[in-house]
Amino acid sequence: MIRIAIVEDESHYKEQLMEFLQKFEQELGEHIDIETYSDGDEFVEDYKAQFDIILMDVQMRFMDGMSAAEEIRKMDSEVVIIFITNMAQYAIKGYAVDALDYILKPISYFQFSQRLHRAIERMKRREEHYFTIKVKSGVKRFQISDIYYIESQGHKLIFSTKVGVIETSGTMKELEEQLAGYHFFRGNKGYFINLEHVEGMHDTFALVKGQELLISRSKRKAFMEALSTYWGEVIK
Amino acid sequence: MNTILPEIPRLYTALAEWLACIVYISQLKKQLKGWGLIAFSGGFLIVQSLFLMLTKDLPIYLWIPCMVVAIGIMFYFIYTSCNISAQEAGYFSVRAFVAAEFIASLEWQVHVFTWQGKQAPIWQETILLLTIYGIAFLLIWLLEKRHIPEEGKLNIRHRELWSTVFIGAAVFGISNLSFVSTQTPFSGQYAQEIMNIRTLVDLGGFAILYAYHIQLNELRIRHELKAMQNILQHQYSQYQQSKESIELINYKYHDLKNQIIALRAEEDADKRNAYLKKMEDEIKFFEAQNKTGNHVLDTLLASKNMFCIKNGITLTCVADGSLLNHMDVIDICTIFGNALDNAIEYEQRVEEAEKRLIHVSVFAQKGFIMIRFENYFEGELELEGDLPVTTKPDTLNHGYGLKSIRYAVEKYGGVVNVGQQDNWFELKVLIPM
Repeated sequence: MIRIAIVEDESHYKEQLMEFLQKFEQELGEHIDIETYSDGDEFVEDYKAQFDIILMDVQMRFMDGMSAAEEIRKMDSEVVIIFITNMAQYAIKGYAVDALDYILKPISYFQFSQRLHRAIERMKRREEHYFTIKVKSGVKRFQISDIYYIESQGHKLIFSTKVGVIETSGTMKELEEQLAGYHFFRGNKGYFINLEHVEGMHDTFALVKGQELLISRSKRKAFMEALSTYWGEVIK
Repeated sequence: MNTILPEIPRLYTALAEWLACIVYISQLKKQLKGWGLIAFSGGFLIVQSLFLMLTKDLPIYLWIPCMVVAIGIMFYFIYTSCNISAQEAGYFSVRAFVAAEFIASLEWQVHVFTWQGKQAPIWQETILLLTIYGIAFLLIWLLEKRHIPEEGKLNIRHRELWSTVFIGAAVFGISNLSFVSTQTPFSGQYAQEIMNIRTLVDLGGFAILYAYHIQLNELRIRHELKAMQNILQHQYSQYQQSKESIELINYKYHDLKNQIIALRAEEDADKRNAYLKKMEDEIKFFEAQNKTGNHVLDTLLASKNMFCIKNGITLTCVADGSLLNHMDVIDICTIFGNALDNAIEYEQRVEEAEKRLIHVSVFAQKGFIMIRFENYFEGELELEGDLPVTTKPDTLNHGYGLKSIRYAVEKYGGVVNVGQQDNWFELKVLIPM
């Protein structure tokens, strides 16, 4: 199920959006739960991070879409915000509230469904996956996003995670097979870097959760490409 | 005057031809990979050796056709192993053949000189063979490596191919003339002399083809640079032009605003309002969106957007232009101008207007700047290296737009990649901050 909020003060557009969402629901074959609001302040007051996607008009009477989005971002960094506007020059600032997409009025169903479809796809890719690590006392289950990077030393694997460093035995090759399909990059000296936690790049070092990990010149390009592909798939 | 002329064993020739093919194949873009390539090469070595050994005792007039077939087999080997055009495969097979002739001749001359026609122990022969072939082909490999285009093509067309074939044929003809007949003005008389002629002519031929190859490469690079310069100039002058026209529009916009104020005094309220609304809607498009925080980007987006409006394309954009403030004007023009031009060019061919969609986003993602161009795309994207296969007829000038984007982005230590997500073509630029 996908939970969508419509925040729109003009009833004509509100109805149109509802209609489009119903059509979209059939095409998608997945249930969509819709709630509607007529103004930004009403919506913000009621907000409890209960939505996956917010379709929001930019110009509204009491609280405009941009301010409402700012308020929402203080509470919820995950929700996808898509502006609906006839004033492109306002929506261009969407990056400030992590709203990288908007739909122009008058709304065409095609544009609407395409953009929404892409947003949902990226949202699905952000879903959590789990990974188990063998330790002496048994196995430990981790969310992929809790792992920052993994270092291999001989037959030891050293996991840098949210809860600290964990050592297990295993080889690079086994690990590579286990991690296939997840967003890890094999850097130098047997590092596996979780692309999700890459914070920056300086010369030949990648900054991963405050740690500088060496990426040689020959791997730099491949690393950046992997990063850009990964982000392209998950960014809102 | 007839001295005994010990001919090069056919097996040696086959080995030289095989190694020469391997040298070139190893540097070209492969079609076959891993075990497939190894098995195929092995098969080729056997076929080539058998063919040359079985045709050893055929009469002299069949010798030329046999050599042509031998080159044909080499061509087939290179063409099948590599992902290149037939012209290019032809070009490289002639070069491989001349290189093989040269090395085989060189080795045999040393062989004859060392043992003076006496039977040498097999192991010594083999060591000499392996040493000379090994060193010689390694040298050729190193020489060639510097002049094989990394991505992209060498652009071998008929003209280049035929020049190479003629040089190859001339070299082959003259170097072997004395073996066919000693009764020509250009033939040698003594074994030593004949072998010298062959080795030296082959060396000359190899050098000519190598020089020709370098020249072709330089030409290609020059052509590429020139095309990129043109694109840079084009985008920049477009930017200058649109800057002027947008300033004019801005001026008009304020003018019109004043007129609207005057019109508000109109008596008939309904009429007045309807008229005003229409006017406002009309000029909305022309308001330069000086809002991204980067003037160059604003101008570019405004001018491209005008073109899009005229062509029924919906261009949407979310951009933090201030991220680009440390970049050169010309680089911003190159990246955005070319990426948008490519997208627009594609969308213009989309039949239904509601499907003509382009979305641009510029934002900071952790310690990086990300620029993403998405446009609606029908069909399957085919990539050739890291460039999309062209849909335009002009293949020689294909990809310079993307190449110049890459060139500009690499100045800032960034990367460019293209791909397809469902019905969307994506061009992503990632630059570390």
